[in-house]
Amino acid sequence: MRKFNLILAVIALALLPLTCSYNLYLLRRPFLMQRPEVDQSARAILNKIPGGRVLKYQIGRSLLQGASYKLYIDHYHDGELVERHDRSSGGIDSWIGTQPFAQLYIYSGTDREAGDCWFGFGPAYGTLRFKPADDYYHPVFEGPDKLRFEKNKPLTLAVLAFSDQVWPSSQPGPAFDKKGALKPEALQHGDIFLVQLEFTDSLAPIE
Amino acid sequence: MAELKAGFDVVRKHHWLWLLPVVLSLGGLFLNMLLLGEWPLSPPGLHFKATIPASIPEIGNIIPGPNLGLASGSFGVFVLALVVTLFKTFLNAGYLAGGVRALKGESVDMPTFWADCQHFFKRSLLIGLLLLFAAPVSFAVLAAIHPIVALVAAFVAIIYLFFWQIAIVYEDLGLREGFTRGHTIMRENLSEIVPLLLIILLMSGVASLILSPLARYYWGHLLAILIWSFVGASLFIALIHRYSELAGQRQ
Repeated sequence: MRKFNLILAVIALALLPLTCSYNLYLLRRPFLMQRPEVDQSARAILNKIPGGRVLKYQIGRSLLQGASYKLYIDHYHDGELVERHDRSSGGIDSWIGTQPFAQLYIYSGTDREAGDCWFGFGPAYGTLRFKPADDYYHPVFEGPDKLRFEKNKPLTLAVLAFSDQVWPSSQPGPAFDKKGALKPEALQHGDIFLVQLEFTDSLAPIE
Repeated sequence: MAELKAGFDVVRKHHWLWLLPVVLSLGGLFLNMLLLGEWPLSPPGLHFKATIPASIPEIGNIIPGPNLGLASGSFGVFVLALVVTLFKTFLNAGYLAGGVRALKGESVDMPTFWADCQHFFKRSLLIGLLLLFAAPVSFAVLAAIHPIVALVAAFVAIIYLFFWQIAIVYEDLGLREGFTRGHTIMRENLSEIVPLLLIILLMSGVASLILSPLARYYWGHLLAILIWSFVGASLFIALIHRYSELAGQRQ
């Protein structure tokens, strides 16, 4: 019996450092979300946009516990940063709740009948949404295949650019109004909007 | 109660009874980390999970487990889950038999444990398969008639099935004889067994309330595994002890 006890104790003592060191590895790595899935359960938000789609990404909760985030949009014109528009920031406990994963959604759609395009992104449906309601503009939207976050480095969630049609000539300038809505009339040929998400300081507690 | 004291005494003397659950829980933890990409800590909030350990006690019995919905669509994960379930059934058979030996004062070594696993595996697997397929279907059908009918049926099923596997292993019986023996002993001694089951449920519930907040932290999770492996194993042995006394009285 002593030998049996000893074998089990040795296995337990071998598993203990293995588990702990693997956990250290998991905490230190920049974290990667899995390939996004088209979320059928989110069809409700696309009811009015038949051509729309929702990509759902998931991040493990232990990587996010205690972390905070910044979500902003960088507006570039011909490669130059014109403005940074802050959308939201704060702790991300509300993203997680009691779930084992934090959900992050990126969604887009085109309503051809109404002639408008839109997209949104964020931890829950409908958090942020642009609606350039003029069929003059044609947003080009792509959700990334994988999201790889590193502490204090912004990650581009989505790019909003426009097709090279004839544009009204005006000086490049801010494209957001005071309420944070995109002003269609302010858009320029060559404008690109990068939706940036950044996890700050408290992410990855092991240094 | 005497059974509980006997359970704790036996586990204190036979260390393998708590070491094996520790190994299984740590192995399960590591596997979960590989699948989920993170340590499955207990979510915030108060959690209450009462259980009657009828096999190897694992930490997942009393604290909220990880949600494997992320990977459930994968065929590889399904195969892995199947292999793990079969392996656990194999070990459970030997654990139960080893618990009976320990209670009788016999020492259990590796070859004995392995031989017991092999000897009782087929019967344990059949019981597991029967319960896996029959129980949810019957419960769903009865619940469709009336929820109270389903609850009464569940209570009757517990009476008839609870000592089934213990009877098979304790007295080395076949499936049918074990079933008859188990439910006869349970039915004839219901007034003595139910209080013990309630006390075990209460103790596991209290353990769940204490260990769930602890398992929100890495070190706490490890400590919770250690504590529940010891307590769960003792409660498990207490049950077998009760059965052995009742079976002895009947003879």
